[in-house]
Amino acid sequence: MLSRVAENLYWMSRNLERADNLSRLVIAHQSELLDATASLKGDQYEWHPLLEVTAMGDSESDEDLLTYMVSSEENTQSILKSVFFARENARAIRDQIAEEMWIELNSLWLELKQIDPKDWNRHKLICEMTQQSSLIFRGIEYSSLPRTDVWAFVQLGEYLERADKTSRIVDLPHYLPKKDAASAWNTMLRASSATAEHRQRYGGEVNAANASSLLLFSTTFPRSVRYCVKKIDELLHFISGTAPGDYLNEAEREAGALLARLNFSGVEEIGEMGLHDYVDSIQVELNQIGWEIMQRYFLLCRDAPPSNAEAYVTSRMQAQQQIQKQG
Amino acid sequence: MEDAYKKGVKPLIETYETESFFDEAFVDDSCQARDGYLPTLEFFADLSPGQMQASLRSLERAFLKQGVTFTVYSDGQGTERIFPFDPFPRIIPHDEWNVIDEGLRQRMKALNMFLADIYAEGRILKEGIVPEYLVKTSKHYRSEFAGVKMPHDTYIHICGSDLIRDHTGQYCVLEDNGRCPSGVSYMLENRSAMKRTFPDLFRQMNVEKVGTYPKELLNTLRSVSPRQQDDPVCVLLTPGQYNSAYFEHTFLAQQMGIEIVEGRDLVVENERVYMHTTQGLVQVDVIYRRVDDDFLDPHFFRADSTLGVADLMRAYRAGNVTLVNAIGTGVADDKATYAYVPDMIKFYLGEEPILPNIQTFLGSKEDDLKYILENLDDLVIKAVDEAGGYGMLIGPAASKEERDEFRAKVKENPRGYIAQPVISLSRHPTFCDGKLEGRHVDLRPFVLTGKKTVVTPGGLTRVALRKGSLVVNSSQGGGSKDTWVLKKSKNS
Repeated sequence: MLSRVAENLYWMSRNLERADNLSRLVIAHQSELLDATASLKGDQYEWHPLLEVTAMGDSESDEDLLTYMVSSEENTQSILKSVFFARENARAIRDQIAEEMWIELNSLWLELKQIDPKDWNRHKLICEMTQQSSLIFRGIEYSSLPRTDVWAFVQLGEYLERADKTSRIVDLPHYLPKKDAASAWNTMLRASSATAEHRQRYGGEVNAANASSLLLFSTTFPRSVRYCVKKIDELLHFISGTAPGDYLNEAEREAGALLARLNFSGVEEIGEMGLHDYVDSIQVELNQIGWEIMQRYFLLCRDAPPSNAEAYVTSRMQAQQQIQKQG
Repeated sequence: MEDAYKKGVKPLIETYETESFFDEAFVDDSCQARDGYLPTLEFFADLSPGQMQASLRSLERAFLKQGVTFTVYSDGQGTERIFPFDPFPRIIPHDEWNVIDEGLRQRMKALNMFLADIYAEGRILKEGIVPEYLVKTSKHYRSEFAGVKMPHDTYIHICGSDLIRDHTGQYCVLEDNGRCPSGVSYMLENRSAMKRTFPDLFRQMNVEKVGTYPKELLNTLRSVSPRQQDDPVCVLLTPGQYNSAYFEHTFLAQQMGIEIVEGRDLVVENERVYMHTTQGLVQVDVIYRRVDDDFLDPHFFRADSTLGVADLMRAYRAGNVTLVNAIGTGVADDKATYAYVPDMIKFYLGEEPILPNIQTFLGSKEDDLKYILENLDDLVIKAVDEAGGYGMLIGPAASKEERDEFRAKVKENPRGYIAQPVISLSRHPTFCDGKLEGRHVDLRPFVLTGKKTVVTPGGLTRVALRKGSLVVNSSQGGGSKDTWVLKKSKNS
């Protein structure tokens, strides 16, 4: 497979997963906020924890925070922009994926663009449509992509992004006042579609230890960090053909090491480090894995720095417009 | 010919006027329908306005959702638009098509012989059939590649000549697109849209298939591979996803099952071309390039091109990779060269041209130049090396300033311009607000040449949607129609 194709498959999947996770978080947070005893008054305070948790940094724009996260043109990680980038990635490799996958992403983008900016319900619509489309997209992916490298790079992007986002979701209470922490546990579970699983496992009462243990260490819940890292490890081995437990490149070594850490020393480590520092350290390792994947599989044909997606798109656009004058 | 007023067709065409143009569907205003058109008229007359609306909407939505779009850059952002589509198909009777088919084969053969000749011994130049300076001063002439041998002596593997019909209905060649002709994906998508939306009509018409084009294209690419092996590696080189024809690039690559690559995916080592894959480097044999000569190799052509592959020309000259189309085919596209194609046909094949040219005056000929300057008001002036409707002046429609501007340009660089009389392109019934009206059309058939020549029956019919307009280019308000070449009927 072309390195550029692999790169686009991976980023298409990551960008969509990013949009999906943020949509889930916004919807869950909004509905839990209604129940909270709302010490958080005013837009800045309401939404600030989400901004922190998703590491979008401080918004310097004039937009309100919700707009900044959901529909901003300035924020390259807003839901709208993430869908845009996912769609651009898909367009670049539409000959490689199932036709229906492309149509789903393209339709989502066209429909999101059509929502009237003045519609009072706009943000909710964007979040819901993104979630819905993402589910359909993954369904088509699951039922029609052949289990080759194409599948593996799509899944790799999906699980890496999901692992990162779940680890961040678990950290939400850290950014809330202590007395509102309980509302954050519900948000965590809802955003991860884990409410039912938590109930079955631990009964009705939600507490911090159970919720974070489920989201971090479950071997069966498909959005848990451990589950995702296990998948990442398998996929990397599938791509290179290396035997399980062995490693051929840095990405595989890092993934193996992180998986071992999650498998064997989870709960005690949290006790020592504190949850916030613990998930922080996981995120650092996930970033490292992403970096190594790029080095090993994508960088062969790199002609622009990967960090700035927008500048990259613009420069390609300009270069390619040079030759628009053909009949 | 049959009277179209019968059987309830009347409401659809009551106000239709052919206005002394050659009409593709009707003989004259008494509305005698030409061969093949009556069933189609009846079919559309039977649809209620609601059904028609619903069909048009579903057509449009399908094109947009599937991303069957081209990109317009006039607003600076690159907006994707669908190519406007008119559901009334153009119908070409079997016998009429046979003449076109023969004519195109003849023309392609002569053009390829011409290119092989001028890049080798230059017989046609020595004998003075085509003026040598005209070839050597053509912007697209690549003297550096003289003597490079092409598989099957083919330079133009893919050609999309534009045909028009004059006021008598005679098919003429307007120009030959021998560089990177586009539009074939619209031909294929239009067909599948028509089959999906109007299956009943399609079924009763007995239309020749166009869907084998991608397979034939792949066969053509394979047949010109420099490495003799069973499974040569063919790729499609695109400028990238922000090119206006990107949809077509992915569409063709997918249909053929070959990789679509950008310049940065390729690398040249030891005069061989390789692509970067996740498993390492893989050698490439044939490149179907949708990038102009100028941008192909920054070490050889424009140094500022970021779309090409460094040293690609070294691999090409060494004969280790075939480019489709070859380098330097633009000479045949030059509108001054065009004027000599009938002479080429006589010179190389000893035949009379089957498809005539449009009468053409060359700025490079003294008498012609005088005529051009004296009759600018009545002529169409074209720059010899432009395409896509750019760099031209339609004398009768232009303002005095525009004409003066062109007059000065022609005087300054006579070699750079040609002139043709204004041709009243044929018109075709086209839906305008639920009624049929006549709109000007042309036809771009696609011809493939490798080991053998294949002409796809039909092509892309482009239609100038603005009333009275003669410009069919998609970037300037043109749309398209499906083109139905009828099979030989069983009882004739």
